[in-house]
Amino acid sequence: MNHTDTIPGPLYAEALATLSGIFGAPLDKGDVENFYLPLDQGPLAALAVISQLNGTAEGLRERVRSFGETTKAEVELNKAFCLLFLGAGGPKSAPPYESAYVGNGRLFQEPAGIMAKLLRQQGLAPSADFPEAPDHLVLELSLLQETLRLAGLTEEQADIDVIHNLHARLNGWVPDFAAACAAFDRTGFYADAARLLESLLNLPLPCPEPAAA
Amino acid sequence: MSVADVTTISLSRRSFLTATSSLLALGAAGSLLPGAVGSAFAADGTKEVLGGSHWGAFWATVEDGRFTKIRPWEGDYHPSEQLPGVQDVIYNAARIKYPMVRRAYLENGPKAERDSRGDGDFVRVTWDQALDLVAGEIKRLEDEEGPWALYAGSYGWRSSGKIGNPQVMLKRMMNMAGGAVTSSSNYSKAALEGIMPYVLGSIDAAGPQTSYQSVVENTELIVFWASDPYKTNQIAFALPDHEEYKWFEDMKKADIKSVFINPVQIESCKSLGGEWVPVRPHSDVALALGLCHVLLTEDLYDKDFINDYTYGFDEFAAYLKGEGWDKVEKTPEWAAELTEVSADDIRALARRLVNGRTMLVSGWSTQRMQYGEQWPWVFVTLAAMVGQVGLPGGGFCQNYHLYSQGSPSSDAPNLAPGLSTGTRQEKKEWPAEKGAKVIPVARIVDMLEGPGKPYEHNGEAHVYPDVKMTYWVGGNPFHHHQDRNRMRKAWKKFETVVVQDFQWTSSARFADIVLPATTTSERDEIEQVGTVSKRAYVAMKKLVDPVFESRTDYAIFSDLAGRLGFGQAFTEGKSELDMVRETYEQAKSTADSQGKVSMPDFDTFWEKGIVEFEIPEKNLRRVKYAEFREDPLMNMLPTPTGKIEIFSKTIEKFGYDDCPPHASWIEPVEWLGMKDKTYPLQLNSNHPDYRMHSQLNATVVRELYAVADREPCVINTQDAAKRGISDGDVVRVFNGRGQILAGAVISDDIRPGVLQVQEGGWYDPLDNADPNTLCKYGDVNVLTIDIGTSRLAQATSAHTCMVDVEKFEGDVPEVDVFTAPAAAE
Repeated sequence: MNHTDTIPGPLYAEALATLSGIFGAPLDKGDVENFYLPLDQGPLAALAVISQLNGTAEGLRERVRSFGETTKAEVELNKAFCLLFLGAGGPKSAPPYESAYVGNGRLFQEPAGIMAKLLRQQGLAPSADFPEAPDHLVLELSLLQETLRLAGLTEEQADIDVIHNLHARLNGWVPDFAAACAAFDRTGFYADAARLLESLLNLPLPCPEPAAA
Repeated sequence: MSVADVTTISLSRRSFLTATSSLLALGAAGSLLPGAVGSAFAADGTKEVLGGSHWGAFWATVEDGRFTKIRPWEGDYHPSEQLPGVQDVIYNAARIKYPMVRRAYLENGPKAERDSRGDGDFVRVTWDQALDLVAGEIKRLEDEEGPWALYAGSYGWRSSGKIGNPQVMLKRMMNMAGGAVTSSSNYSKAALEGIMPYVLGSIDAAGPQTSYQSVVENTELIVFWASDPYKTNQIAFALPDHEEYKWFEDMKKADIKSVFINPVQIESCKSLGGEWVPVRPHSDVALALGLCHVLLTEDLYDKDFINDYTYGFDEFAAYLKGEGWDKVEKTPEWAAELTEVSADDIRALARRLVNGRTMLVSGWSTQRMQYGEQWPWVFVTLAAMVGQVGLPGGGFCQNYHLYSQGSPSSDAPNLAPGLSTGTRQEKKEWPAEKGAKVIPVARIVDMLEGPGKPYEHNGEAHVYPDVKMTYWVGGNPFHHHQDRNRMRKAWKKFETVVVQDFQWTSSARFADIVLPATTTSERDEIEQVGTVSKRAYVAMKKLVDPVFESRTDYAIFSDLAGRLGFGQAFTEGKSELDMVRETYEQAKSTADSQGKVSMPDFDTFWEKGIVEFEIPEKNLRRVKYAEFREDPLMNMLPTPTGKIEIFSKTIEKFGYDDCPPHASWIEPVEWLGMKDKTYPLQLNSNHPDYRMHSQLNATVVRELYAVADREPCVINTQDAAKRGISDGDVVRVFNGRGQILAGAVISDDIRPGVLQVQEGGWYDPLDNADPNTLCKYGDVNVLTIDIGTSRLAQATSAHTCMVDVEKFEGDVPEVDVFTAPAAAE
């Protein structure tokens, strides 16, 4: 796949889902062990086949392997996750919420309200074990990837509009989120993952144009 | 590897969204989704709801389940600039979202290594897992050791309201479980609370004081001694209405002369156009003794008052004249040398005190020092010599700086707390050799360092218990306790530390088990406006549903009580709203029987959100100790002699050389006047301007005061110039106990030789493994000393502290504790 190719919708959606997995919960021991598999057979397989992301994905895999022991990797990545995303560092964090990057950084602000409405419209809600604000990065990514898959089947203009809307939202704040990860992530893993996400979002959307404004 | 295998190991298998039905998609999602997620975002429109906080009552705009705007209640005389923080704490990035357990503890339990506490290696667990761990450890310790192994002396300002006091809930639960060690008094005024019962028969600094109106109409000179009503009155346990700001305006209009004795020229002084006496810190007792000496030797003191209303003046007078235990006469010259206030100024001030109607006002910082009991005692003694105690606008007041205690009162009853701690269910006998059941709150580190070690407190001998576990709620000991590095080391004595809070305070980060609680705005509550004024009761309805997986403190403790086998006894079958109703109806019943105020039924009150009460004209003028003055026999004070005890035989019998039987000057271990100083500057760890201790430090309010993203450090112009420090520089403040970074504020509003860093900054260690690590943000209690004031009160001595300061060179480390990322600005 060369740099000018548009990525197939299902692959783009799978790449989004992979990154959602990284930012949705700390890696457990099994996840960490899987990072020792070749890139195209491991947890980042979806990213491996996207040429524009392959190098960074390999770097991400190396980040995990560089800890040496899987236990150490699990502990250090968990610490980073808690500090960056769960507030446990107090922290000099990278809150994974759109609201954190608008206004004064307070959570649950207007983007949360808009995303709550969008989720309702799409007949979706955060799962029971993920009681997060509706503008959490993972929920926006999950909604984008699910709608991409759905639009691939239905070709409904409403779904296409949602895709472009979400894509624009994410592109509006993920760069700031990635910058925060780069500044505060001591492991480099989440900083690289955020960079990967930023790169993915910069690739052409595998989706028809939205309805004319 | 097959495609199926790849899919199995892919991170994309994780699912974060779930489908709702087509009906739900039409907008009723909230009705079926799990707690916080669903109902918090139901499409239920916009409404404005009255709420309450430590900073005042407010109107909250709630849109589709989100708290989106805040504005002050219109009845607030002077809304606090801190109010936006009340909204921010709900939605702050430092919120604790899920139950978390430190990994090492999860794997190894109470025997886990404790060095990695504070590293942030937590694992998210379910509520069931977390509560089973907590309940299991409480039960194990109660069964295998005894109640002396558990410390439930949790202390702090918690959240607002009459119902949801988590410290009461904790003690109630522990009492039902078999008991636990608790704590007495507080970090604010424990020395005062220790000494005043011997002098006045009560704490004195609590409850209604001589009213503002009485001062405005009668006082000619008001002396604010280490008291800053303009600042600390912003906060209260009840909902503050900030009436003291109106009082200051009224005093200005009445042209009352004012003197502010303080090492810092504070806003209160500026607002009144007062005279600033920049006394040397820690020498206040000496200054008061010098004033007493002038009144005595110039025969200016009120001999009738001393004869009729006090006991033991002769011994004190002998002490002033150099015939007492130290054989030193307390002349103005003697005082001048210690205080750096000239002898002439001391004489002039003493004469002014008796020239007209004088109100002497004291704050509490002067008793948060080594030998801190001496300050309130000498202050009351001075007021007794002036002789205006019990006269309109005269005498003394030890609390005009908190709770607007000069406000007039309505005739409404006080609202009663919703729960009681109950009494200990004695499952095991508690023999004396197992240690004290209650320790002085500020002696926690002494307890941790010395299990079984004897100590004295208030005339009694005890030994410290051997505690293994602590459960902290509604407080942040990693801010309010002194000598952080010593504390960190001692904290490792705890095998299990549970912290229940709504935010990742430093204390939470140093815990083993962290339980996410709600803020006040996420539960139903009731509170009165004005601790003294009782101008209204506010129905503090839940503004928004609990966010993430947080639960109310009551829900958490009820669940734990169930796991411990006494759930029904703990709750008595009552919900939080049941208790709100009960508290209101008790007050209504009292009001109905007294017939002075009218109250609607509960449902009407709850619907309307507030019931307000008039302040009767007859209540405007209140004079504390007026009855005592009018008839000291019929209205005697509850002291052994029924009088103000200038000399205490009871204390004399204790034989404490660190608390003599009358107010005395004793040189502290650290102060500016000491001969051989290792560090040249006195550190004033004052109450913050825009926080309540450490509360709101992680909110937007911090933007009002942070310098170089850190706590402000006020340095006198001369001291800064000597060190090449400029305004806005990052500075390192240090002594033998520790080191912190702060942001320099250069000012002539602080006297030379004194440095000021507000207490309450969140502890932010640079290197968790280093026992003397730098605090990057500016937790001043890294530097303060951790000794008791004396054997009498065993209170904190935080203001006994010498330091030095320098411009910080090298790479300035970023603050980790709570800042939003730069990208969020």
